[in-house]
Amino acid sequence: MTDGQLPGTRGAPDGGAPAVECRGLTKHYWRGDALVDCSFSVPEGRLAALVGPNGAGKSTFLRIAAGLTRPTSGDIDVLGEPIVSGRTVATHVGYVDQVRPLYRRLRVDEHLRMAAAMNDVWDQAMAVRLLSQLEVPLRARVGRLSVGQQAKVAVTLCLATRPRLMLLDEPLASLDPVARTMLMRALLAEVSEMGTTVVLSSHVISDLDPVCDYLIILRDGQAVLSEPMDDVRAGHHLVVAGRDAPSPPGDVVTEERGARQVRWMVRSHEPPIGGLGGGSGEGPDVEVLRPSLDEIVVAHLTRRHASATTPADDGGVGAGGADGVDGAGQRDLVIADEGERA
Amino acid sequence: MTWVSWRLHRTQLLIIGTLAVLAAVAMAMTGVRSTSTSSLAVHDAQALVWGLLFALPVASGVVVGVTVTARERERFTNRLAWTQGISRTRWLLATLVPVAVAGSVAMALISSVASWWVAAIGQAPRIYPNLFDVSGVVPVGYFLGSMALGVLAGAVFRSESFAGWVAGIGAVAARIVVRTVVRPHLAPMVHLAPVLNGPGSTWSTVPGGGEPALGWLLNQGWVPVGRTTPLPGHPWFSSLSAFNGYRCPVVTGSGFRNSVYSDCADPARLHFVVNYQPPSHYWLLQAGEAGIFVAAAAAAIGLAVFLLRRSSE
Repeated sequence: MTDGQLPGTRGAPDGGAPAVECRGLTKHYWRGDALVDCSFSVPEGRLAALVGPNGAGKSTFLRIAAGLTRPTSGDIDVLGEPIVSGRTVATHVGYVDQVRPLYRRLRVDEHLRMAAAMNDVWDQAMAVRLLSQLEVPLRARVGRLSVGQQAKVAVTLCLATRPRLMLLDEPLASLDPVARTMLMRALLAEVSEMGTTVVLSSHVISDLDPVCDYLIILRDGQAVLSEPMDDVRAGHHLVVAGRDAPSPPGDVVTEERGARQVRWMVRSHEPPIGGLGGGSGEGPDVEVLRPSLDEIVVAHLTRRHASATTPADDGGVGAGGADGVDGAGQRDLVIADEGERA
Repeated sequence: MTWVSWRLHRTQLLIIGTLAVLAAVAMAMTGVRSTSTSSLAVHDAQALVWGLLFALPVASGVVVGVTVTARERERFTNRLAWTQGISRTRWLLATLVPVAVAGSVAMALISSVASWWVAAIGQAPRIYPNLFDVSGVVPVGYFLGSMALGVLAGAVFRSESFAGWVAGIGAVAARIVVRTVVRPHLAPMVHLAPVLNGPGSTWSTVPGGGEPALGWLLNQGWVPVGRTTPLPGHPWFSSLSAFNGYRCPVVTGSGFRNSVYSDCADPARLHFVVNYQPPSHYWLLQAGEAGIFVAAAAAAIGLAVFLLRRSSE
């Protein structure tokens, strides 16, 4: 049963009830912290990308939202209901784990029968249609299928419960490009028809760039950015100027000093041109570029001091924060497909 | 959900069923043959069948139990199961109850064949521990207890093999403790004292024709007259010579000589006592012991549910 949301509301301006909202979410493991006082929300109807390096807390967040893991402290509401791990039965929430757990000895159609028995809502016709569209043989044992085929089965099992919210942990990891495209296309078609909210984690930003309309960047267990993709694109500017130019106004995310020029990633509502020292706007050596999503994400993840998720209005705040981001700092980043895990 | 349970545990149940059928066939062969001929080979075969009957409830219970929890957690399939539209509690009970019922039926069938077999080989009354353990209703109790212990171990430990070993060792230990410490007291013991106190007393004068017919012998020895057990803090004395350094002839041969009593027992005010459970207490002990294991199984399942509901996966 869907919530009756009409197709086409995707990308609507915020203001609807959040599909997921967490406040001060913290998860300690004895080997370290996965989430530290993490707060953000995803409005209903969005297709949200959850990005961040390994250990940023993406999987922990998704498992908490799915009711698998209980947080150390903090609250999380999913579809307006508080989640209590082990107690809450997530009837309208679908979850696909990053290891894509399936019963290896069971056939694909046996998985469908099992899911039908365990869910009040089950769309067998949709499951069969999707699997044939994705070229997954129904009679095959899951253990004999390729990793990509298994991912398709896992996502299909999730979709056929017609969830109002889907939580997908690295659904595309270790899939070949053909399988990626195929799965993503099928997923998008179904969720836009059902009006399902999707939260999808990934290392590979390029996969998410064209499809997602909401972005959450997790770093060290905190959300350093959480806003609609359009605002992310419109609100970030790459300023390139001569070595001696003063810092631009707005929230300077990173500053990269080269031999001749300096590059700032600036977060502000307006293009940060007027405030630059030249008086009559940009001088010949100042250039404002539109950064790629990749560059924006990398800037937030390499920032020296993670700051609040709201952009600073007054100029100069955080300007000195990114001193000395250099090539060595860049190399620490892991924004890559890390491959199949266990 | 019954289908889900069957599909997930089909392999284990088929193996248990096959072993049960094998044991039944072996019992039919060795049980029938023992009525006519009794050779060494038949004895060996009977010992083998007995070993299978003895081990099957615990082994199959543990294997089924850890499959329900530890295997799911080790392979992360519980992350699939627990994010469907049913609660963890319902998931556990729905997958567990059908296999528990199927396994119990298999154990009940095999132990009813075993009850016939135990009588057919006619070596001792069925209240004797080794025969008691494979007949009646206790095999069902052992199966359910071991299965629940497997489920509980799997709720604590994620590794299927480790949980299996823990549950297996725990179940064997529980059986040993219950058999040696608890079972003797599940029905009132019968004490036999005065029969041997007299000239010419031997085991053959015991009503019913001797020691084996008494039943399950628990304790015997010299204790003060008027008591059926030693004084608190004292062990059972099997011979008078061991008692307090009192100089006595060792009891030898086929019976108790008159002199033993006149020389030693009477001056020391001791008499010989035999404590035992008679064959008529068989079903009392069976019901009591099966009840203990079923109750323990219910408690272990309850604890496993509690732990699984709290666990972070």
